[in-house]
Amino acid sequence: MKLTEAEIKRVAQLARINLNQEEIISYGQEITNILTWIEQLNDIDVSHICLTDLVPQETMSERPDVPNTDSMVDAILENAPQSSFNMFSVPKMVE
Amino acid sequence: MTQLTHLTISKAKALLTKGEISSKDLVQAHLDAMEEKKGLNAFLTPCSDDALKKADLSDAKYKNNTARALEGIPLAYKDNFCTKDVRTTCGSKILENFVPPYEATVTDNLNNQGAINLGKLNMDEFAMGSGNIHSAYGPVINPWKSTEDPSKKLVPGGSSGGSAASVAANITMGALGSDTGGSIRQPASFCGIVGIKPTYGLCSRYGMIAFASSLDQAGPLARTVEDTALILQHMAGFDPKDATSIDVKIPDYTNNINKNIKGLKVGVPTEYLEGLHPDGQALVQKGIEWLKAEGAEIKEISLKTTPLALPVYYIIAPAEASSNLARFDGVRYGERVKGDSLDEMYANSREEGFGKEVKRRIMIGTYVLSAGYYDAFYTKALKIKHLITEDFNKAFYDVDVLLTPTTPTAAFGIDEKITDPVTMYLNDVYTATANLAGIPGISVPAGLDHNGLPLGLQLLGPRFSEQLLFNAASIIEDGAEFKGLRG
Repeated sequence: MKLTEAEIKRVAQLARINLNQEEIISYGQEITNILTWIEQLNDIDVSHICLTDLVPQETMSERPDVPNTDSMVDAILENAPQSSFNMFSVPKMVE
Repeated sequence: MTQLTHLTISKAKALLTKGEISSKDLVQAHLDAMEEKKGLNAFLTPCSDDALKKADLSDAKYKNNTARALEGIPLAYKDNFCTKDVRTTCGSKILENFVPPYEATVTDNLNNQGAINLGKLNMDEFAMGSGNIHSAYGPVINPWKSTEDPSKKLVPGGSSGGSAASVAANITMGALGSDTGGSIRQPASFCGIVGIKPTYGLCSRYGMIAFASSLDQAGPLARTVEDTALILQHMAGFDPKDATSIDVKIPDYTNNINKNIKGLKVGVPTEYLEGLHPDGQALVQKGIEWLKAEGAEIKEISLKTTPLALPVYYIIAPAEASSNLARFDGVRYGERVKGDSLDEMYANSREEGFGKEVKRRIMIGTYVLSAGYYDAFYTKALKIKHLITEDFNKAFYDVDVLLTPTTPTAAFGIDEKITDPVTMYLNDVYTATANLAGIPGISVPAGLDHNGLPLGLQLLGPRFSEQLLFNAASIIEDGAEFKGLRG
């Protein structure tokens, strides 16, 4: 399975990662090799397995429905690259 | 005179209780070792001042008989565990200045038992790697040297490379690591120490920076089986903050270690021995003999899905990683690189903040989850994961535990520059299966290869069989009489 340059660019765009031309070529080659290695799974027949078989067997524990009113706003905003009015600040996204 | 840095945790606890040593001296000795062995690059953020202050409090508790289970014992935590008010980078540039406002449950549990954190340990960026060569803060050096070329710097394994190197080099008495495909057991094997990946759900993942959530599990590394059991006992337990945490009673692993393994059925899967280096083959044979000598019954078995595990792992883990790491976008924490639009800011921040291996895995994950490929790759991988789990379940009808090598080889050179990712990924060929099946696995140092480098043996058991693994591992430990690093 060979990934084209256009496919690598599409994946990088979906992943929100900038790649230069050199990286497009090197990642393209490496990811192609990895996917070719993964292709060995094509021969495995899984038609007898339903998606519902994959549900974990454990019963999940319930926890009491107690509201938690701890406010960590100030502590959380300490790590914000940019904040204003007690909110995260980002570049304008609507014209 | 007692060499404080060479004590086991159990021995140190006994001496502290009798008042023959103080926690302050114990912590100071380890901080001195940290300074002396700075060249290993095992620590990213030392917590020296805080550790000494806590040691004073521990000494007071010993004096007034209120000492807790790990009172005054110096440990260190891998840098993917959030530690309140202590920088947590996850080995990444994107989190270079991140100071968590909360504490991970497992570190909180250990701190509440009196353990003292010496500092945060280096690791492969976001736990993605098998050599600790993918840290944004430089590689960790294995304290072991090859007899063939002692000048060659070796990898400690990864991704918990800082954890394994610091324990092996006697800088800390034990460490926390995390294991998604072998990241505790492989470095433990490369550095000649013990490491266990517990059953999925035994230890809380709350506050552990997520890589692949369905496979990630926290666990301890230490120099003896008993010490490893002691740390696990106090870090494990149900946590309502982690929906995958399982509500089971945690046994007193340490006091329940039972060396009577007469009648224990040990399976040796043939698939794990195919193509194995003669050093590894010889070691597995020794392991069989040690266990047999104590009354275990050895049975050759087959786990036919073994060769499928790594390709499946390299679909599921990157897929989950691509989703988990979407949160690092320069908005709420971590590095932000400006852009004219929100999208440009995301892409600039992630380009600058992530290293090559992390980008590669995010790209693979994004690809296998993208429209048109999801079922062919991701759904299929989930179904084969189910087959792997079933394969183990069937094996555990016939045998109690499995004995395998931990790694295909001993530690390799940092400069060997394994450029092909697939070759690097094969390091985890014997370990990733346990993560996919959710079962526990322990690596015990069992001998040296032809270059004088440590090799571990792995024991795998059914879910929640940690006690059984500690029991069998202690037999291998006794048989191997493994001498750790001196000096």
